[in-house]
Amino acid sequence: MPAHEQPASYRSHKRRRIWAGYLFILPSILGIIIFTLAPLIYSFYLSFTNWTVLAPKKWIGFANYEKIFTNDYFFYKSLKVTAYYSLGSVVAIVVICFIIAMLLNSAKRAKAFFRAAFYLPTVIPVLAGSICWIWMFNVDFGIINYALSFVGIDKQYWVGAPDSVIPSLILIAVWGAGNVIVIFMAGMQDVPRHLLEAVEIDGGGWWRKLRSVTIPLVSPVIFYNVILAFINSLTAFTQTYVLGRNGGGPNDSALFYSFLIYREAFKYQNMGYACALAMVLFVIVGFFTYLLFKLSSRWVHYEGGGK
Amino acid sequence: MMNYRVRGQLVNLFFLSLLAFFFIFPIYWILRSSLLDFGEIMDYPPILFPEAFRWENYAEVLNRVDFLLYIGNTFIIIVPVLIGVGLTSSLAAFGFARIEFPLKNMWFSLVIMTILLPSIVTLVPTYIGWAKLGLTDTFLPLILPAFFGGGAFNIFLLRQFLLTIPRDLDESAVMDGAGFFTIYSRIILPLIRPALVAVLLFTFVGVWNDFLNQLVYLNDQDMYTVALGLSTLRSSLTSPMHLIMAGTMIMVIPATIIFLFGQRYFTEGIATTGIKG
Repeated sequence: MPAHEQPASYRSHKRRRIWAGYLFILPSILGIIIFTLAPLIYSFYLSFTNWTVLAPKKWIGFANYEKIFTNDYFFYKSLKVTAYYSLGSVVAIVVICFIIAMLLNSAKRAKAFFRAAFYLPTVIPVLAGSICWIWMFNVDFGIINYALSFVGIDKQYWVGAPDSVIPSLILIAVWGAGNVIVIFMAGMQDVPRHLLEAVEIDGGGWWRKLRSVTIPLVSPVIFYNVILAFINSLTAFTQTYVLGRNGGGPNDSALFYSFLIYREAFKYQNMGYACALAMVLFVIVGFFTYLLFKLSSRWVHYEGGGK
Repeated sequence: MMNYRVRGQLVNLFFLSLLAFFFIFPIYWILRSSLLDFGEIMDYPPILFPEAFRWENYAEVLNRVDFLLYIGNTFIIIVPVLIGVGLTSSLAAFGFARIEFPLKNMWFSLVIMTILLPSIVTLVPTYIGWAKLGLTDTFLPLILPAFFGGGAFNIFLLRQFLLTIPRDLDESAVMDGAGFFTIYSRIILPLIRPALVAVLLFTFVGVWNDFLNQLVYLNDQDMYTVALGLSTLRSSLTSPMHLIMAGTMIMVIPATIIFLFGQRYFTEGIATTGIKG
């Protein structure tokens, strides 16, 4: 039956459905427009000004961007620090949580207890967790150096020295990544037993099972966790805010990009410059997210072909 | 000789216990440190188990920092945020999972893409917007966004959950002439309860754990949250370590209680997001 001959009740029902659909998602669409798109556009505009809150704002063209790329030591420093932390924490979190999830899934006893134990630090506020770890990392009084002295390891500076601060922060990040373990566990439960048994019958060991069955089948979940850990690593702020007297760790060795933006905007009141920094981060995140998705088609297998 | 499988289980259990110890220990260490006195906490080798539990540390830290007021403030933020998130994220999830309308997939992709955007990118312009409205140093910048979608992650979680529920019930309601809102409130809301509880628990912990937004928007000490109170306590040069640890414990306890009671919702909720993404 051609569309224009449809009965009136059907057409009005269809119209009502479209209205209803939009009404239901309206708050979230408005939210995206007001709290994401508008700020992005506004930030783009402000990045071409020298606004400092106190002085009137003036259009200065590309001067902010020029300064970022040619004359800002801290920009390059924080880019390096953030890249190091980001890469390190993503790899460490995904690999270690994958291993823990495998151990947990093959455990027969106390599974629920262990899962709770691994998840608990995730709900502990980052501020509280960081304060505690900094205290445990203390060079002279810390429990960690004390424990290591039993196995003959000398005192380490941990978060107190530029060389070791990022690995120490990665350790804290793994501690707080119990949600990744739980997501992996759920994904691994969907791996069909008969496939693993088939490998066993062929005489394959655990490595063969892992490489040929578990990893390919769980690859969408691995990908999801990589993305999650990547975005989380860029959002990390509190752990560097509490490091050192003014934050950012010793000699700005833990100067996360988020902290750099915060410092420019809220300590130095350089709003225009901070917006330019944020726009640069936006482009960088966009590029790497695109790259991750692009590369994912090579190693992520979705069941039944397409996504 | 021990059976191969039993030995495997024991090795497995051994490693799990070791790892679990590593995950739990820091929390014990906060508790332990909060119960020592000024001198004991600087002892080396460290005291592994306090001899006398100095609960009075907690009274002392409450004297220095008005944590009770800050807990109240935090709840003034949390309660409306929970209402806003519960309402608008379930509305959107229902729209995306159950109603057909043009451009639906485009809007849904847009929602999901906001998950990929680190919040720090929009923090400064958003702050300026609130400042222009004269609303910084109020709770509004921390509350109002919850009423606009309530977070892409929550919409995603609820929608995933809804997709696993057969449509028979709402279809029979349509036959009976029920409107979409009736279906949402009478049929869908009760059905998605476990997922909604998970969303609300995540949201509670999210606000309780938030630091950056509260730091940026709240400057007046009377408006401080627990996180800001703890941060101030720690950065004050006169704060002794055992009191900082008592303050830290005050921030850890509610999160832990929420987790222990809602454990099932946490783990099932988080698992829902990971599968069939």
